[in-house]
Amino acid sequence: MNRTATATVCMLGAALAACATPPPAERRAAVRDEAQARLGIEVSLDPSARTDAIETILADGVLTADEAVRLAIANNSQLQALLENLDIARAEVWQASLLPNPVMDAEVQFIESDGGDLLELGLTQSIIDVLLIPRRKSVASARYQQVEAEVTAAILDLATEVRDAYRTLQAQLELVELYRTATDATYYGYDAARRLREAGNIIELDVLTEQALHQETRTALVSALARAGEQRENMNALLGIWDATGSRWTVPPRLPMPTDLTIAPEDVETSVIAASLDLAAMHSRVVALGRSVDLREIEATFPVLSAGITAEREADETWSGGPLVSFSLPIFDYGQAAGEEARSRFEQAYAEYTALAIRLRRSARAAFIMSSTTSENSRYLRDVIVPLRSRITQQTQMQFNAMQIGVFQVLDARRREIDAARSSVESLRDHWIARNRLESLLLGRLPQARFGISTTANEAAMAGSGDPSSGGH
Amino acid sequence: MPTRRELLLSGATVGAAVALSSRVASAGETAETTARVAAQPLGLPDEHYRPVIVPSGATVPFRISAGAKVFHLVAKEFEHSFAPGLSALCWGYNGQVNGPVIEAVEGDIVRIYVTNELPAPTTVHWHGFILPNGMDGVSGLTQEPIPPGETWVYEFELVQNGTYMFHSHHDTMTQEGLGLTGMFIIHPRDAVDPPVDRDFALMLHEWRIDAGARRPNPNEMSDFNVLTMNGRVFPYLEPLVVRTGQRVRIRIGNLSAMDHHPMHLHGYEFHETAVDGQRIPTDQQRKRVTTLVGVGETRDIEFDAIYPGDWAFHCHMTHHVMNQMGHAFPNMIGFDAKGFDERVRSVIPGYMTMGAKGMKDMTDGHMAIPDNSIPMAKARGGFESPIGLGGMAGVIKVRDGLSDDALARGEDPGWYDHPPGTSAKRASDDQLERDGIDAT
Repeated sequence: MNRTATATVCMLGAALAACATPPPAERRAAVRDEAQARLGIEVSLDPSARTDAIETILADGVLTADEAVRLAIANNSQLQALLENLDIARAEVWQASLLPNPVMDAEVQFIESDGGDLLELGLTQSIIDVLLIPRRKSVASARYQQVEAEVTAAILDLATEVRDAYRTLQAQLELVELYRTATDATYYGYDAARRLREAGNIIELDVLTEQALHQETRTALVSALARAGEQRENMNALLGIWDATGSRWTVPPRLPMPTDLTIAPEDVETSVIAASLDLAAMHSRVVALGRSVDLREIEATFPVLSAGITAEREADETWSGGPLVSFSLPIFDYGQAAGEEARSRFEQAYAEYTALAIRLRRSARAAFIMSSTTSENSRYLRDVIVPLRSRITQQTQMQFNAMQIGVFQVLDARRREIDAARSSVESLRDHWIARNRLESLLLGRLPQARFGISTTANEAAMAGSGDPSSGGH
Repeated sequence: MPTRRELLLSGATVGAAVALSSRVASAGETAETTARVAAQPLGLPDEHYRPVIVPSGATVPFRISAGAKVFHLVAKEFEHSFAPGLSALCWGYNGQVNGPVIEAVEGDIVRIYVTNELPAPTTVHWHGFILPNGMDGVSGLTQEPIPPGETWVYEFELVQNGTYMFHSHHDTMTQEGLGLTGMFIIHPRDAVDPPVDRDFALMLHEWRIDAGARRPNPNEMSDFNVLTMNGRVFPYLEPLVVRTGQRVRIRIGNLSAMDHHPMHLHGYEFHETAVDGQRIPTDQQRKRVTTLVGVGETRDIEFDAIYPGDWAFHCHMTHHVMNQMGHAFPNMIGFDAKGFDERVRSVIPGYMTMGAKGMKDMTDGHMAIPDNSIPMAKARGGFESPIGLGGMAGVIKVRDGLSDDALARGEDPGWYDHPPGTSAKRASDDQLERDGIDAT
């Protein structure tokens, strides 16, 4: 008995030592390293460094896309909550490695005839639980890996969502300026009409027509401003900023032109498959479920399997004792149903794994097509259409100077030039969103927007990242 | 142009000419005409007639051959200058718009070769002539059209005298519209009385050339924006220079596509002496200041140039004295541009309100305008301000004491120097007070 107790204490001690809780930054190091390796930028998951991150990154007031990603990863509250899943899963692994506590029972029987009593003492330890520790640990470890993958995926999702929001905001700021110029142009048309009306040269209908055009354009400007404000708030939400700090940053109001992909088009699909965290997580799940099939059968077959010792003091004060084994008899439930369920869950997971792989390939192709076509389109708009519209405005102005046409046609030409510039910005925004989606896939994640507020930025991101056939613009 | 001696020699051979055959090769066909002998000697310049003066133009040279005056017209496309800054691809005869003037004398036999260097077939119609039907030049009606690359010949006797015209009669709208027109002056065998000292020929035409375009649009039906005399817009038509006291005739032909032109002469009353080549008997000639020249008509006017000065002569349709007027331009008169232009310049750099005081804003000419366009005349006369006239206008410069040589050389005497007290000036306070004018 002494030996058993000692052994038990030793095992407990060992388990405690093995699972001593390190500080959060260290506990999250593996995930952080993985995220850094995939994102290619330095990130911090240390909750104590949040304030520093805000101050450092916002020091110059102009946020780059990478800075925005780093700040969001350091500071986004939803991500912080998700990071706790790591500790929960880690605790579950620990739990799985602990011996179940032995059960002590004592029984006293009072003998009426002689006033004596019987004392019966028992100490039992579940053997099945001890036997299953390695298996349970294995399952918990697989589960932990899954959580690690999920948290890493969440970080990548956040990064992509921040990049989308960043580009969308950049685009929107540029669009606001264009809408403002268009609104000015239509105002001058309206103003010219009013002045001509005052001079007695045109009819009221002409003035109203110009006024309507102006007011409609102005409404579009107001909507664009509102969207810009909303998108800024979305960025703040992603950055985890909720106070006055939210007004301390700006983004450059010009989208960069598309850059070349660093990967050959023919390698995109295989790279996406190889990098996919989702697929890896799904793989871990399949493995965990595979392992749990046996465990569930054993658990169901022997829900009770315990061993112990029993000691009995007879009325005559003499002690007797011996070992005790108790187990359930697998007569009715020998684990057949539980095993079947576990096997089905495994099969289901495997099917989902295959489906995900197919979906990833399709998404990779779609994202590549969207990214490259929008890149081509935005270059064409910038290099051909916008300069063409600009030349049309110049020629229209020359015709105006030659008094062949009026001021309204000049302003109208300018408005069309602005429309072309707007299409160019929108196309570039669509490109960056498609590109972000492709990059996210190459980093290992089919992105999901889940951290920002529900915004048109998200809608634009969703619309911009859909399959080419879905259109939406 | 042959020398006078050559012509006389050629003319001398005409008397001895007998029936001759003239063969003209043309794409497998041969046109054969029989040369006739003129009843009288062929008319020669300065001997039988005083040649017309063609401002900014020329007359067609001729030779005498086989009893006829032989002319050669080459119809082709070329670049014609309407004014400095505006040229366009036109179709014309002998590289001229409007075509060069043919001159002959009543009774002459004329043989006119026509070479078609156009991309399309063509014909020449002799407008107002009495001639054999087969020489009338109507494509498909009186002849086959002249195919591109071929040379055909017209020959007929001139039985009339007066101011006539010629033009294409194949796809007339296109070909006349692009410039295939010319004047044909048949001088009378006997000089009219009183004889004229200066005899000018002017062909009226109208075109649609969008500001910045390089080819007239012959499809235009109503909105013409370039109005010309002898293919030039004012002030780029050479002036009609006259010595004070000379008798002047101006022959006007109108082959505009769609417009008649009321031609108005400043400073003079003139006699309308001929209509469509028909001399009006002296006692029936009316004194006028404006004569309406209908499409397809000719008018001769005559006057004694007794008033020195620079006298405008122009179509009185106001839109016809504009250069490339844009009729889509809104009415900007009275537009108050205060505080407007500088704000518009924020969206349209270089913007400046135009036309708030009228279409003459353009004459400042500092704004960027399309290449190859002359939206408004920028030329200056004898004053600081640009000339406020364009299009179908010219100027008759009447001067004292011009020499015959100077006139023969076609020298421009410059702008008129007004004698003191004979030109409009700002009214002085004394004048205003004296005459009780309250202009405060």
